[in-house]
Amino acid sequence: MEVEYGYARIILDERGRLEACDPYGCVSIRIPLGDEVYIEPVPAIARPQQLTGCLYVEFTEPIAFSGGKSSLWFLAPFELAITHKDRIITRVSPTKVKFTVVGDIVDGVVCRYYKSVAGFSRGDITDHVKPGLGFVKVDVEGEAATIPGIGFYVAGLPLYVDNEDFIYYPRVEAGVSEGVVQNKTTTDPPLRGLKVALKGRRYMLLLPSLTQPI
Amino acid sequence: MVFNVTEWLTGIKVKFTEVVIAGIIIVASVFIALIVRNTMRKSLQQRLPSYAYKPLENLVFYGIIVAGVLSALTPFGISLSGLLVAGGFAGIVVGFASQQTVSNFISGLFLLIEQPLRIGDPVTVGDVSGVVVDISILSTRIRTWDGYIVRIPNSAVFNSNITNYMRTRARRVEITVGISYDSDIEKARETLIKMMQDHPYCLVNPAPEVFVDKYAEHSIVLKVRCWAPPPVWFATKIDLQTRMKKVLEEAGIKIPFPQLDVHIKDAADMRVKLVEEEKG
Repeated sequence: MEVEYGYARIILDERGRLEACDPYGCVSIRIPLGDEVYIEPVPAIARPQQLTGCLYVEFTEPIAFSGGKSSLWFLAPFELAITHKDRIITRVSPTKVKFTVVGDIVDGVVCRYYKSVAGFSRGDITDHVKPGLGFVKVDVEGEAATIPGIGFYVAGLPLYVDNEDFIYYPRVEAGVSEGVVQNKTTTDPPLRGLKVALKGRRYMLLLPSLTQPI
Repeated sequence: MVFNVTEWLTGIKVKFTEVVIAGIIIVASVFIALIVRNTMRKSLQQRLPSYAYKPLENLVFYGIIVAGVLSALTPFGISLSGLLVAGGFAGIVVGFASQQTVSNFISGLFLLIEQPLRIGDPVTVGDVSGVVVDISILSTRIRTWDGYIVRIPNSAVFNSNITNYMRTRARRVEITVGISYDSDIEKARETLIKMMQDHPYCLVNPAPEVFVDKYAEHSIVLKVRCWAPPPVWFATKIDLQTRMKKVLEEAGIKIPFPQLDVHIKDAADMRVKLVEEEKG
C-alpha cells in the first residue's frame, strides 16, 4: 500500500516493511505481520527536528482589525503521525518546513513558520487548502490594529476533522493591546460537529500563551 | 589530689556511647540521602530538565547529610550557634588551608543561583569549549567538542568570561565565498539567497543576506549570512557550505582558484626556431 500526500510518501509492503519519506529524509520500520498502522494528523512541530512547540503564520496580506471582537481564519501546516498500537512511531511533513523568530532575537520565541492567506470567514480561504494544510480560527478581541500574522502554541494539542476530511486546529484566542497580541490556544473545536482526529491531550491545564509584537 | 579511676572510666563509657550514636546517625543520614536520591532519580529525573534536576538532587542529597551531621553533634552538647562561634575561630584557621575549596563552594552556589550555564548548554568558559555535563558543588565538567571531559573549579568558571550559545534564540551562520570577476554578482546573490530560503533551518526572521565583502586579488568575496536556532547551527553551517558550490555551479557562477594575468609591457619580439626531432 502506498500513500502520497503533499511532499510525504508512506509505503507499507506485504512483508511488513514501512517506509515513510518527506523532503527531510526517510524512515524505515518493520511492522509485525497482521498488525495495523494508522496515519493521523498532528501539529506541525516535529519535522525535521523538534525545535519548538509553536506555529507562526504570516498573512500574505496583513489584516486590518477594527477593534472590538472578530474572527479570523487562515491555514496552518500539520504533520502526519504514523501510529502503531496507539503509539506514534514516526512522523512526516507533507509541507516544506521553515522557522522564524517571533519577537526579539534574545527574548523572542522560535516558531515553525508558514505564510497563508487570511480572511474573516472560513469560506474566504477554502480554495487555498492544499495537502498538509488545516484551518485555524482565531477569535480576536481588543484595540484596533494591523495584524501581520498570528503565533500560537500547538504542542500536544488535538486536531479536529470534519465530514469532508478537512483538518482543523483548536480555536485560538487573541487579545490586542498596546502594540502586542497575546495568543492563547484552547482545546475547543473551532466549529460544531467536528471529531477529534488524534487522541491528543484533550483537556490541558495552564495552556501557554504567546505574546507577539505587531 | 586523688585520681578516681571509676569516675574516669564512666566518663569514657558515656562518650563512647555518644560517639556510637553519632556514628549511627551519620551512617543513617547517608543511607537516607542515598535512598532519597534513588527515589528522585526514578520519579523526577525524567520529568525535569537536567539543568533543573541536577542542582535539586545535589541540594537534597547534601542537605540530608549536613542535617544528619548536625543531629549527630547534638548528644555532645554542641549546638548550632556554638558551632558557628567555634566555626568563626576554626574558620580562620581552616580558611587559610581550604581557601580554594571554600571559594569553589561559594562560586558553585552563585552559579546555581545566577545560572549563566546549565547542564546541556554548549558554552565557552575561558579557553574551554564544549557542552556542560555537570555542575556540582565544587566544580563544573565540560565535554569538549572532541569528546574530552574537562573539570573546571567553580571559582574559575565564575571568574571567567562565559559564552553561552544556547541562551539566544538564534545564532548567525556566516560563510565567505569568492566568485570570479566575470560572474554576475546579482545572479550569485539571488542564487545564494534562494538556497538559504529553501533551507529549513535558515530563519525567515532575521532574514538571510548576501553582500559583497571585498574585491580581492583573485575573486569578488561575498559574505553569506543566515540565522539558525542554536541546536541546529552547526548542521546548518556545514549543509550550506556543502550545497553552496553545487548551486553556484548550476547557476553558471565560477568559484575561481588563485590566478595571475601577466601583461608584458614593451615586449621585444621573440624568435622561435622549430627543430625537427631526430628519428630513431
